[in-house]
Amino acid sequence: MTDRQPVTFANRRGERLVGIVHAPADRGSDTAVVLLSPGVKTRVAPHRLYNKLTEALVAQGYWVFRFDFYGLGDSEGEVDETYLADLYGSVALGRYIDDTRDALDWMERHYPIQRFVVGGLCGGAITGLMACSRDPRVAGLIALGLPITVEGRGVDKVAQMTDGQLARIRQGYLRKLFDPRSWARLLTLQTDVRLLTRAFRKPVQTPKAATAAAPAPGASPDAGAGPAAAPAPTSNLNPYFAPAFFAAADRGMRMLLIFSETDRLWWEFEEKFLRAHPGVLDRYASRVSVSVVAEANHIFTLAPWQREAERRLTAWLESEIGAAPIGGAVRPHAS
Amino acid sequence: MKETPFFFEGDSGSLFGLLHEPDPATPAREAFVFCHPFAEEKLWTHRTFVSMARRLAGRGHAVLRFDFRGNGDSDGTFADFSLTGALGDVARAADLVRARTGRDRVSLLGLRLGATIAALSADRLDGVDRLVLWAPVVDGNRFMQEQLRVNLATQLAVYKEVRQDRAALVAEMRGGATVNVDGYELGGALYDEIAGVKLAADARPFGGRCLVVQVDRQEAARPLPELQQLQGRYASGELVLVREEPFWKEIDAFYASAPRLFDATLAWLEAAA
Repeated sequence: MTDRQPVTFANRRGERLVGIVHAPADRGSDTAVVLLSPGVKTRVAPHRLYNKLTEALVAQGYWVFRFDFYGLGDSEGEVDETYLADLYGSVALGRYIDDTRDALDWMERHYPIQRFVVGGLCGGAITGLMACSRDPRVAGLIALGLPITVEGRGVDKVAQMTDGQLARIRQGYLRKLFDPRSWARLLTLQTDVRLLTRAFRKPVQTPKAATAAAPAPGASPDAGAGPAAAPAPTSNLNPYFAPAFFAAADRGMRMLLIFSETDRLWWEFEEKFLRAHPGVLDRYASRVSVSVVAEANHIFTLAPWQREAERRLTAWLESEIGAAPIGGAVRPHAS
Repeated sequence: MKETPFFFEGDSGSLFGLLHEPDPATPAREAFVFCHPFAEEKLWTHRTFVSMARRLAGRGHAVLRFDFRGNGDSDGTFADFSLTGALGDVARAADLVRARTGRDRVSLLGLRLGATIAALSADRLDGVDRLVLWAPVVDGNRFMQEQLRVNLATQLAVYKEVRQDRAALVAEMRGGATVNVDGYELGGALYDEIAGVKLAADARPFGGRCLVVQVDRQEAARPLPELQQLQGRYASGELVLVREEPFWKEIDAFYASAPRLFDATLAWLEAAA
C-alpha cells in the first residue's frame, strides 16, 4: 500500500477539488504523474484502473496525484449537461484544462515537484494533452485510449464511423445471415437500415488536411499555432487535438499513446489522423510512441490487458522520463 | 457546510471516507452513513450520492460517505471485498461518525447492493436510527446472474463466442479462480456469499423505521412483489415508488442528482422525524 494523503485544493473558480497524493519511498523525487479523471468515473477510473497503475508508478519512484474535476466525483462545482455524450464532448473540447493547470500549480507549490507527466484514460488523455502541450514543466503525456473526436447528441454516429467500426459491424451482420430472428427483425423494420447500408457501402473517406484551428477554451492564446489539421466541415474531429499534438511534439514532449485493438478510438486515430498526416509518426519517432494492446477494449476490462498496458507504461517511463531526485541526475531526453 | 476527506481504520486496513458536516448554525439532526453499490455501479452513482449527501447536510444531517475495503480509495483489492467484511466496515464507519460528530443517532442509507448491506447492518448493529433502502438487491442469486451476464457479453465481444457458460464460470470461481465482471475480479466466496442473500425471506430484526424505495423508469409502475414483501418484513416499513432512470448503469443521461428520489426520501425523513 502506498503512502498517500487525501487533499483538497481550490481551482481558479474557487471550487475545492478533492484528490489523493501518493508519495514514493524516496520523497525527494521531483517528478509527479498526474492521472486525470476519465469522464464521470472519478479519480479511480473504471474498475479502479488508476489505483492499480498508481501502485506501479509509485514503486517506480514517482509521486502520483489523482483528483476529481469540478462537478464530478467528490469535488465541488456543478456541470450543466444532462446527457453523458454532451458531457464527454465538453471534456474533449477542453472543459477541464484550467483544473489541470491549477492542479499542477498546486502540486508544484506543496511538493518538491519540478517536472510532470500527465494524462490518463480517454477524457483524461485529451485533457492532459490540451492543457499541457505548451507547459515546459510537463515532460510527458500518457494517453490510454486517446479520443480525437468529439461526442455529443448532435453527432451523427453512423455517418462518422471508421472503416474499422464498419468492418466489425459487417462481420456481425454476416454472422447473422442465417439467423431467422435477424431476418424477422429486418422484415419488421427493427433493423437500423441506414447502418446496414453504410456498413456495406464504400468505407469512410480520408479526411482532408486543412487550416489551423482556434485554441481550445481556456488554452493559452498561442495554443492554436502549428501545422494543424482542422476537420472537414462535416467531420467530428476535435479541432483542438491536432494543434495540441503538434505543439507538444514540436517542443519535445514525450508522448505514449496506448490504444486498444477493438476500440473505435484506435480506428479513429488511425483513419482520421494518421491518414490525414502521412509520415507523422516517422517525423516524431523519437518523441511519440504508439502501441496497441491486442484484443483489448476501451477500458482494458480483462486483467491481461491491464497488465500489458501497465508494462508498456512503466517501460516507457523508465526509458523516456526517469525519476531522478532533486539535484540528481541526468534525465533521459531532457528538452 | 464542510466536507473533509480522510482515511480511517477499518478491520483490515484503512478506509477512505468523506464527511459532510452541516453549518453549525443549522439545527443538528441524526448522522447518516451511506453504503455504496457494487463494483462499477458505485462509479456510475457516485455523483448522485454526493448530491444527496449535500442535500442532507443542508438540512442539518452529518453524512459519512465511505468506500468499502477493496473499493474506491480504500485499501485492498477487489478480491478483499466481501459481504461480511462490508458489514464490519459499516460498523467502523458508524462508530467513526458518532465519534466525529458527537451524534448518538446514526441512520443508514444504501443503494442497490449497498442497500442490502445497510439492511443487514441495521439488523446487527445497535443504535441504528432509521434505514433508507434505495432499489435494494433482494435476491442475491439473481444479482449474481446479472453479473455473470456481463462476463458473457465481454466474451462475445472479444471472442465472438461464449467460451465459458454460466456453469463453467461458477465452477471456475469455486475452484479458486476469479471471473472478470467489468474489470472486477469476482471470486467464489463472494459469489456464494451474495448469491445466498434472500433479503425478503425472513422478518428483519431491525426495529426502527425503514423506507424502501422502488426506482422505476415507468410512470405507472406497479410495486414489485419482492419489495412489498421486504417492506412487510419490517416492523415499521414503508414502500414508495419513484420514477427515475436506472442510474446505476450506463444510460444516456448523466445523473448528477435524482430529484424525485431525493424529494421522496427527504419527505419521508421529515414525516418520520
